[in-house]
Amino acid sequence: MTGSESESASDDVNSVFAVADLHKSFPGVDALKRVYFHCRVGEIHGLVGENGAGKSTLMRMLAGVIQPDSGTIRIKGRRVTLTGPRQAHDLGIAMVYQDTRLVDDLDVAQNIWLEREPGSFFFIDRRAMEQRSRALLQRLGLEIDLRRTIIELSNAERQIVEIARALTVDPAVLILDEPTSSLDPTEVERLGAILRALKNEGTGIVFISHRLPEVLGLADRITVMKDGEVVETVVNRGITEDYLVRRMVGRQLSLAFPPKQSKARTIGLEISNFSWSGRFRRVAFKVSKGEIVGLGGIQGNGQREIARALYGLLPASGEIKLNGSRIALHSPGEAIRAGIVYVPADRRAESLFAQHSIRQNVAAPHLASWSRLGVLIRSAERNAVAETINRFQVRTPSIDQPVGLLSGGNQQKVVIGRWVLGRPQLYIFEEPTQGVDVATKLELYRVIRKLADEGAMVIVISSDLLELIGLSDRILVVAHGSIVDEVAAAEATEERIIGSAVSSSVRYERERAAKPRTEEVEWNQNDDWPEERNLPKNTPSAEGVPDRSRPPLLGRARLTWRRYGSVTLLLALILIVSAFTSQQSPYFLTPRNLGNIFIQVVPLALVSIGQMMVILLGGIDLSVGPSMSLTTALASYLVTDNQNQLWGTAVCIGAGLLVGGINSFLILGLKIPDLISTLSTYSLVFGLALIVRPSPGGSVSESFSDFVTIRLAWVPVASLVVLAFVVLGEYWLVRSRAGVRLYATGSRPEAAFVAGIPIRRVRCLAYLFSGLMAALAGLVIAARIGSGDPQAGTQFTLSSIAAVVVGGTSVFGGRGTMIGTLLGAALLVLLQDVLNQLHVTAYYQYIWTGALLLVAVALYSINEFRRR
Amino acid sequence: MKRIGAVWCAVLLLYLASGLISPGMFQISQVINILQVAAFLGVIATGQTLALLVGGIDLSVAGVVTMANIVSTSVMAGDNRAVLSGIAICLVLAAGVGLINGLMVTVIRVTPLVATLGMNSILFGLALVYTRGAPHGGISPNFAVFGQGHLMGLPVSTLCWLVIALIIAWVSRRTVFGRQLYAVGANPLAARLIGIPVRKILISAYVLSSVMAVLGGLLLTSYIGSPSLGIGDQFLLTSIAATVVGGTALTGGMGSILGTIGGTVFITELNSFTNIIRVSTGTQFVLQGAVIALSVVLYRLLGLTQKQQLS
Repeated sequence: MTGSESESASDDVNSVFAVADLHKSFPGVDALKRVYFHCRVGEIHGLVGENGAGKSTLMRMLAGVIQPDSGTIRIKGRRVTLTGPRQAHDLGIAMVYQDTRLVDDLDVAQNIWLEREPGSFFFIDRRAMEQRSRALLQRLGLEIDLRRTIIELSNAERQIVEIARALTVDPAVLILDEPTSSLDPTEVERLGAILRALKNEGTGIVFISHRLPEVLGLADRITVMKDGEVVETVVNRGITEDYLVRRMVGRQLSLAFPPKQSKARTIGLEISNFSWSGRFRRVAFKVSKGEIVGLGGIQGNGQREIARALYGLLPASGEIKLNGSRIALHSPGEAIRAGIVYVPADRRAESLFAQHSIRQNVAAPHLASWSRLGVLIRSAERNAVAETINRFQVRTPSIDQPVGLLSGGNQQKVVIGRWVLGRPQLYIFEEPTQGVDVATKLELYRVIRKLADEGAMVIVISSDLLELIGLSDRILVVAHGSIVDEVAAAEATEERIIGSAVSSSVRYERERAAKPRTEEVEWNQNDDWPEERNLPKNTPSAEGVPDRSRPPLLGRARLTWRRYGSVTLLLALILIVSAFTSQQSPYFLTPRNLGNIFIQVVPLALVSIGQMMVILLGGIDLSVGPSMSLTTALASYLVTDNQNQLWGTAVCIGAGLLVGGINSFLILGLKIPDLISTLSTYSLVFGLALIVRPSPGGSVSESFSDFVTIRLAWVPVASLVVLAFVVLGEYWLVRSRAGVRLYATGSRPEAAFVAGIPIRRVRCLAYLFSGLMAALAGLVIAARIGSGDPQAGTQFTLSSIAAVVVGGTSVFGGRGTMIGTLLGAALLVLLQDVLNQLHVTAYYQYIWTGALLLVAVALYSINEFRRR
Repeated sequence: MKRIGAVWCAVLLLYLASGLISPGMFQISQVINILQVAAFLGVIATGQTLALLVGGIDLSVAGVVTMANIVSTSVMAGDNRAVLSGIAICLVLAAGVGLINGLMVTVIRVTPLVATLGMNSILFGLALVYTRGAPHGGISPNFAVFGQGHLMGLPVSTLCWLVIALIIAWVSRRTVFGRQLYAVGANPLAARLIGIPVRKILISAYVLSSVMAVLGGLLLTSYIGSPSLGIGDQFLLTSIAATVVGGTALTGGMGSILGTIGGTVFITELNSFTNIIRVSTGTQFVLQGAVIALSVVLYRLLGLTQKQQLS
């Protein structure tokens, strides 16, 4: 064996990190077993293995995202216990994830520097951040507008941004998980050069890839993993792809596959000119009865979309003929009736009702056929399910066991058994053995082969090429949404399949490059198309610094519009309404009326700003209304003429914070959904308000009232304070570290988490803040009405949500402005006043508050849906 | 099953405990009274359960109950000939409200909380505008039998509630529609992928929720006999409390109507007990809030062994 090493990892003094005897098990699987692994200073260490070999688990452990069950991790010789991603960062471990961990709603620069922004303690130095981002990206050969949001980028661009992000810490260890899967050959080349340069600077690099030639081209040493164990670590000298493949597989899989079918067969399915939205084009193939056809190639080239379109999930064009007659498929229901069924890869997300019983899971698609007049025939259901469980040997004590408790393999048997009952003609399997142990895999192979032997057609999509080769009769290689090669299983090898896929990629690139720019634009619209890239490509200039033509910079105006577009519209609406009303009613524009409007905006704006922080994080706070009531009730006892008013005010504010604290505890401590948590505090706090002050009464001191409602000419000072607060708050949201944390946590919590943002603390603070603002709003109300009222705040729960949503904050979290919220609150108050001026009864306010809320949220939701 | 058992144990325990503190709870008349009052909440909570089972929530039940009260008394106006038309108009309106809720949630993809909260406000406003703040009218004398009559010693309203709840319980467990309801709530994507008409199921759930709220509102109206603005407000919180106490999870797909019957009795029993011992309204709200949060935690503990393996 060439260059094999026998060593114990931990005694290598030169290692940047070393792990020893690492174990990790997830329910049902041992993900890692006795793993020893180390990476030296200044080396590129290739890590290869089949899907599910444990590579990613190992690296996530190093990045602090998951913790090992047992074993040791040493970094630069020091033993450490990694408790979170933040700590791993600080120790110099940077990880680039396969599915990038970027925040969609933040821009490029913000993403690169998330949680590590240059600047002062509070504020971010945007200029420095952009400068350094540009330098980093230039090193990676990507020129890109730093103000574009991630959602506007192609996958390849996202990957580069993610790598730039990893380089911000000057990492001691850089881990890249499949970094090249969405890069083209030139980009791969550039990445290789960067990695070599980093290596020469002493960085230890772990490079995980399925693309063996790349690994062989880059790595100094290569570690092969299989089934959660390290098979061996070899020095990359004289190592061949074949050798690695043998070590990766290392088992006699070919023997274990059931024998293939070879009889002449009749064609059952004929697809021609099948296209959808640039994801796949003019796909044509046939499947015979009793045949298993594999769709192979590099993952994410349209295989999955072809399958989904065949199942009626995507509106593809073209012709599908089943048994000679044309069929049209618009929904899964139609596909199932036509005899086509689809077993998706992600069982938990797309196939199973995890908490429901095996019986319910198997029966779900057959309910109608086991019923009379819509009523289930229970014996029919029981018998059929029991028979299925028997036939597929699902290991379970009873058919009433929740399916989520079964092992992955048994779950898959349940899913397959579910379909077999309907005797479909065509089965489409996507990654049929994902997350299944080896023994059950073989069982599943036999099951699938048996389906074919009984006359069904089978299409299998698998990224495990050996599985694809072993299982299929014929393999179609898909690349860039087209079928580029067809191989009979007997002649199929991994090299042949990968070879066809890759060579077609190169050809494809060349054709793409030759095509005029207009074509490019058409493709750019699908920005999550995996191989999509809209970077203009130029040859590197003489200095070796890639000189890419600059993509058209987004104008500053457009960037401002992106954040403040809805705010501008809102402002326009407010002005139009005001102009209209001043025409109708002369009283409207008098200082008296305007002052009145301004003072009324104050409490609503305050409570809405608090509500906005919560909604920005994807939550909701229903308890704000009662909190306001409680504050007025407390104030009517504590902020009176013969008391220390400062002390009384402090107690009121403390009460608001307490409510926020209870919410935080219920939501974060007890993990009760925010809706039900704040609903229960709604009841609780309302009750407290009633206890404190069962009916309106008491009196708040006049000096306090005067202080809160003091005016400068006709303008209430409180409204000026709120305005100043909002302007500062807006600046804070855009420029401060905390603001970015807030948006990141709301937009994509898992990305925020791996960036080291304490997302629980951020959430907790948001609820505290919401409680605080409700208390302030309550104090203003108390000052205005001069007494306590246990119902004073009731309306504010709804109107605060309305103001936030009308103000342009997304209820899905991650986007919103403070100015918008202020204007939302202003619009609500203004409309009330306008209706008063026009002598419309006050009763209408409930209608238009509700209607405005619904219209606003519907508009944003439609917009959101279009965006995604 | 474990969940249904738990809530009925809680009902019994609370009954015994409250009876020991105030023996008045043990009198038959008090039990009948609890069942009488529970009927209104029970019917409304049955609808709320359906909304929660599909993973949604219906905060517009309060407005719908008020609407039933205002519209039925206005249409009937004490006239026996108008009983049927009063009921029919209310049912049609309810179906319309439920349909709009359902369409907003499914087609426009507004989160159920916001959609039904907005709807609630609109309905309340409409009631105010329609009555100009001073509702008139009253029920038909014949209509009073539903809310005030007794049959075999039991209030008719209680019997109505139990019949409705048992029918819905049967539908949810034994029919294709019911089973699809659970499937959609547990995993809408998986439901769609096996050909279940997810939108139709969701819309039906919201329509049924509104219809149940109207039926509950009609029973209540029949009981009190006159219109009253904001009469439905109390049910916003209590319908959710009864459902959650009855073991239905907010995440959808888990829970049962039978549990909600227990939850309804529990909440009513608690209110009745606190009334007897003259606890203030404020304390009742505090208790209710605590019960909601507590029951979520307790059900979590109850299912913990299972959940740990599930995740």
